[in-house]
Amino acid sequence: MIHIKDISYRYPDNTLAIDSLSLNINKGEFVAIAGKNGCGKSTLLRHMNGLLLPCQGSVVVNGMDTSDPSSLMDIRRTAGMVFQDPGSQFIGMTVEEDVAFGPENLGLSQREINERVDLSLQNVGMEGYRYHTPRSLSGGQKQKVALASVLAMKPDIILFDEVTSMLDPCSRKDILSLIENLHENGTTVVYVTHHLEELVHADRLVVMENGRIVHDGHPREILSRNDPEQFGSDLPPVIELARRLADSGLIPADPSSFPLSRAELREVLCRSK
Amino acid sequence: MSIEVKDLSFCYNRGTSLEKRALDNVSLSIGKGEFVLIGGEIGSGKSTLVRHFNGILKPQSGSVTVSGMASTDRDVRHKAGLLMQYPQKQLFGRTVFEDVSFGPSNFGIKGDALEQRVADALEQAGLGRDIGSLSPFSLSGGQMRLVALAGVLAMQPEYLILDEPTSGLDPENRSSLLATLKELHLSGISVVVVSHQVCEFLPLADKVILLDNGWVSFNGTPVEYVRSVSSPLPEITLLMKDLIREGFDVRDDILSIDDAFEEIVNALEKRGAGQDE
Repeated sequence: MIHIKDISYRYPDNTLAIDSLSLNINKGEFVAIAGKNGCGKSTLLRHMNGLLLPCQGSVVVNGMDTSDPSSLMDIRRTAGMVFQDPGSQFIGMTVEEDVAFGPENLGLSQREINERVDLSLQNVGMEGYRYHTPRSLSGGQKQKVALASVLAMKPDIILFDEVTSMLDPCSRKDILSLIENLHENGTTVVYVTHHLEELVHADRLVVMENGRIVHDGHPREILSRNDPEQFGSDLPPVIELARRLADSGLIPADPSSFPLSRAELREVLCRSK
Repeated sequence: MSIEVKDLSFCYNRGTSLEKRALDNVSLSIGKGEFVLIGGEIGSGKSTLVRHFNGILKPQSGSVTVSGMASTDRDVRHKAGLLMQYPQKQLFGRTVFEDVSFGPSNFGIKGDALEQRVADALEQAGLGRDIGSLSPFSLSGGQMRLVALAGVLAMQPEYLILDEPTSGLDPENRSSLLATLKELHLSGISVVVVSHQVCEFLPLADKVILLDNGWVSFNGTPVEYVRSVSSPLPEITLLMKDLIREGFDVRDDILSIDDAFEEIVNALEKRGAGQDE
C-alpha cells in the first residue's frame, strides 16, 4: 500500500529530520507511529501523501511515486490526512460546504456530491450540524467535520497527525472509536500520536528516534518492555502497573498476552487468582 | 495565613438581559502550603473563582482575603500570582529576560536584585538562566508556557494559581510541568490548580474542590474524592473498583501505582494462602 524506501529528509535549515528510513504499510493495517518531540514522526507522515518529498529515496503509494507531479492528485485522493488543529483546515461557511469542497473539486455530479456529504456526515455523527458554521463547533465536533471532509473523498488510506491532542478526554474517545470503525471497515490507518493509551487499537506500532525507526512490532511486544523514555510519554498507569506485576511474576510475562488496557489487566488478574 | 472566601457571589453582565450567575455564595479556605485542585465542568465558575484571588475580579457580594489582605487591595498581586490559560499568548518581550523581569521591575526592583530574581524564577520554572537572552518567540510552546510561569514566579508570590496549566501540552511537556509544580510545592509555595482534568492532578493534591454551576459541590481530600465522586476517576482507581467487583480484597481509594501494586500483591497472597489451607 505504502512503500517507503530508504528516504532522508532535511528541513530548509539543514536539520536532518528523516535518516535513511524504510517502512512498508500493508492494506488494511492500523499502524501507530510514536516517539519523542522532534523524532520525525509527523514529517514521516507528511511524506505518505506527498506533502513533503524526500531528499533521497522514494515513497510509493498504491503504485504511484510521490516524486511524480502528475500522480499527486491521485495520491492525495488515495491518502487523506487529518491534522492536529481542525480549525486550521476549514474553508467553507457551513459544515456542508466544507465537506463538499473535496468532491466538488473531483468534478462529480451534484447528486453524487450530496450523497457523499450525507454519508460522510452520518459516518461521524454530525448530520445535525450540516448548516452550522464550523467556527461555532467545539474542538471535538470540528475534528469530526475535518474527518468527514476526508471521508467524502473516499480514501483508501487515512493519515492522522496527533488528531486528539487538542481534545478533551470525551471527544478523544469519540474520535478514536470512529477511527476504529473505519479500520474495521477496511480503511488503512496511519496514526501519529503522543498518547500511548491510544495504541491499544493499533495492530502495529512504529517507534521513531532521531529520524529512524527503533521499534516496529505489535504494541504489546513493544510496550511490555523497552525504556518508556523512547516513547515520548510516560507509560499509561495501567501499563506501568502491568509491567511491575509481570516483573514480579504475578501475571504472565509473555508479551503476546501482555495487557494494554484496564479491561485486559482485570481479565489477566482474574485468571491468575 | 490562608485564602479565605466568604459568601462570594458573582454575575457576569449584571443588570442586563445577558446576566449570568457564575458564583453563588461560595465559601472556602485554602491553607498556606497546600496544593489545592479546583475542578468542575466548563462553565462551572472555576476560572471566575480564582480571578478573585489576585484581584482581577472584585467580589460583587461576599469577600476574599489573601493572607489577611482584602483582594481589592492592589498589593494582593504580590501575594497571589495567576498564570492564565494559554499564558504563552501573553508574552511580549524581545527577550525572555525582558518578559520575566516586567513584573518585578514595575514594583521598583532593579539592577543586580532584578537579575537575581529573574535567574531564580527561570531556575524554579525548570528553564535555566541561559535562556534569558533568547527571544521567547523562538521557543517551543511548552517552553513559552514555562517562561510565562517564570514571569509569575519572579513576583515571588505566596500563592501560585494556575488556570488549566496543562491544556494543549503534549505528554512530554505535561509531565515535566507536573514535576515542576511538585517541586514548587515542596519548596513551600502554595499551589492552586484549576483544571477540568482532575485525574491528572489528584496524586499531587492535598485538597480537591469541585464546582458545579457556581456552587461548591465537593470539598475534601483526594481519598475522599475517589470514595465519594463517581467520575471522573483515575484509571488506577477504576481498576481497583473493577477488581473488587471480581471478588478481590483490595481497597477502593487507591490513587498511585505503588499503592495499587501493593494491594494486588497482598490480595493475591491472601488468596494463595486461602487455597493452600
